[in-house]
Amino acid sequence: MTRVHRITVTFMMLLTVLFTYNNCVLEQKTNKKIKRSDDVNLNTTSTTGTDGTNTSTDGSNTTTDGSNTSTDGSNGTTTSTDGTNGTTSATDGTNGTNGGTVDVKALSVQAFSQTTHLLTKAHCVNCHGNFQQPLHAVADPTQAHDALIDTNKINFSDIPNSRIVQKLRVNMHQCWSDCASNATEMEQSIVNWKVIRDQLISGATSGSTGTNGDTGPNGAQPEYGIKSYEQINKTMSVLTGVRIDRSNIQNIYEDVLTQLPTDNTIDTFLAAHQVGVTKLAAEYCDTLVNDTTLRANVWPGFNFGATATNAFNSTGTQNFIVQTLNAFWGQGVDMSGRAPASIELQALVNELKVGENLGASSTTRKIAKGVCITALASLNVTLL
Amino acid sequence: MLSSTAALAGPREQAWTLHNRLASVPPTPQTLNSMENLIVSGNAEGAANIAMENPEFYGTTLKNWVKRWTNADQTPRVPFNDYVATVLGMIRDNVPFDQVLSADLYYIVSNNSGATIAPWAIDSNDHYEDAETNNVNFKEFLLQRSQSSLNGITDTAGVNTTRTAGEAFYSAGTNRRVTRFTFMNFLCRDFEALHDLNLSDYHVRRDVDRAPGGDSRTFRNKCVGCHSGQDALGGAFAYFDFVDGKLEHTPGQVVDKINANNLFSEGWVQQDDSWTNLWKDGQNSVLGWRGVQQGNGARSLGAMLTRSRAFAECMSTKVYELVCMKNPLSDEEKGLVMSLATDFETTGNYSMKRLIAKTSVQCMGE
Repeated sequence: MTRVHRITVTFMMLLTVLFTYNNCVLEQKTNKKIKRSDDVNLNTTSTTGTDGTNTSTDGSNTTTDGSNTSTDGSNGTTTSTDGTNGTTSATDGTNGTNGGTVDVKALSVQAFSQTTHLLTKAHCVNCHGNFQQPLHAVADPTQAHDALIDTNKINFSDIPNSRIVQKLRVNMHQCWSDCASNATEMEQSIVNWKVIRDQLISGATSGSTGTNGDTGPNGAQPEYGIKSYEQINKTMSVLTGVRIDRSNIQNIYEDVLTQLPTDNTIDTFLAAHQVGVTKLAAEYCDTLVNDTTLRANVWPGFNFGATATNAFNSTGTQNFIVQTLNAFWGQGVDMSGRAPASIELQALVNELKVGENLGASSTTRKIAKGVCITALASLNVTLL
Repeated sequence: MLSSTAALAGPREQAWTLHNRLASVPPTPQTLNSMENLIVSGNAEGAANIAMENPEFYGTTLKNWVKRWTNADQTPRVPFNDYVATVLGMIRDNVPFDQVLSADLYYIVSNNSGATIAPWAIDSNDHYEDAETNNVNFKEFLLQRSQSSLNGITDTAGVNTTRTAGEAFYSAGTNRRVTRFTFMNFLCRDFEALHDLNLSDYHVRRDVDRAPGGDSRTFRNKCVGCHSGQDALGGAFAYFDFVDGKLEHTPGQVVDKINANNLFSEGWVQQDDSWTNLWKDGQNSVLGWRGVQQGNGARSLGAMLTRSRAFAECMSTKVYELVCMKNPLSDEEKGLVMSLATDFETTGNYSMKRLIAKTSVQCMGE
């Protein structure tokens, strides 16, 4: 365990690089599919009329009751407001090309259900999901959403000063662990709520400028999900051949169980989740590399008893990386994405050699575990 | 195919995605090849069916999907239980899923699984919990049984009369929870969505305050909108209570808690297990009610609910969210879900496996 953790810490920076790479690839793919404008300001919402006019406003200086819409009837431009209440109509008024209607509140509820609502349902449900006003932890996302918005518990213009955050940070009200951490977690969830809401509105309004006005807000939805805790554990078991009922695997799984994603919603996937995934991958890889039978299945022909100099020479490194990615990312699957990953892993191997005794076979196994952990904990494995 | 939302992928990537989403785990190289070949030959549903043969389709994907239905917190982080086992078994055996709220069916874990598990007991979940802890293969070792022969309940109503449902929805309270969560889980609507102030309040029970906070307008403008409909349906569960770790059924005897808390003596007193659907007309007629709209007991209520169009649409929507990782929001996606719902309740004869296979190939990328 100690050795594994040391390796994990050593590789964390490089893991972050690969994680970032994965996120970037994901983001790029998502952007391609939703055809979202690259210059969308997430703090603003805007609708482009068919005449090309674009008006943007931020949530801080526009109406907040959601009931009014500021429509520029002359050019068909509609500006949405804070997105929390009411409906914003994105209708072209005069030029005859029919935009759709964007239900801003519905999009806010959708964003809320993927962010802050998950927190309130997890930690506040005993009181605020039952009898205690505001009922922001009830199962129905619309009711819970309205309970917060209608009572001004959320301040999107100054999120840290939102009442629901202050209740945790200042009043230490019913914290589920450390109040400061809980407040930060709540604050971040509201930030995510706002970002996702604005993305949805942006996607919906840009979609509404089509010729038939029926393009819904789906364009902003991710095409992917993230595996949940049990899916991740069983996936790693299948890929490595290490049984999930081994005591060391069970122990580490129990340790990180609540840190792993609960559901498949990728919007709520955080760095903390990734750390949990990495810890679990570290245990699987430690077991795999130390098991002569299992490791031969993943890396046939690789000499784990050789010195690092020989085992991870140029050819050996390349072969090891190819075998790793074939085993964990699928043989022949998404090969176009392999080259950048291979470059990163080669850099990782070179980094891991620095300061190590390259004449020892133990170093070979350490490097192998590093590559293994990096590939096994990647989004290519945990993405749905 | 949903060209506007599909990921860019070749048949091998499609097979990889399909298997991971359906079985929760990656395919073996051999399975991947087989699925890829079927996709190339235009039989994507065949590929989906292969993925659904993986034991983890039941042991992980479906199990965690259904677990959310079995508790008030709607979390999958609860132990395996008889409710989940019954749903898994029905799907595996292709029992028409419209029987999920009315069948006299039940599933236990076989003693031949090789694992040491506690014997089934009417007042304990240990049998199921042990099976999960020991990683029992639910595809292989779930056995179908008559529910009434095990729990002694004459008015069995599928999953709604399992021990787990009893613990989650019938304990304490007034049994309104079971009606609410049945609507949420199988019609995809919480009561707020059904709120209708136009209905008469004659069926609202005595324990509902007619002037909350001293203001009768609150009752008239808010409370009655849900209680008028739900209390009229909730009579179906008047003979049930969760006592001493098990769901008890007392035919002919309304349990005390149903008519307790007399806050308004002229309110409805439940005398038997009759129910009537006051939401069948008006704004809630859009749920597509079919057949008889009144009856007695949990089983007849369950059958009425699953006959509705809303049930088919709800199941179709839930499956879409499960295998496509998103909500059906666009007109195109909504149209797809509606057509899948129609297939589910007609040609598909409520086969959940068929619905899952047909849905999964719509979002595997292209």
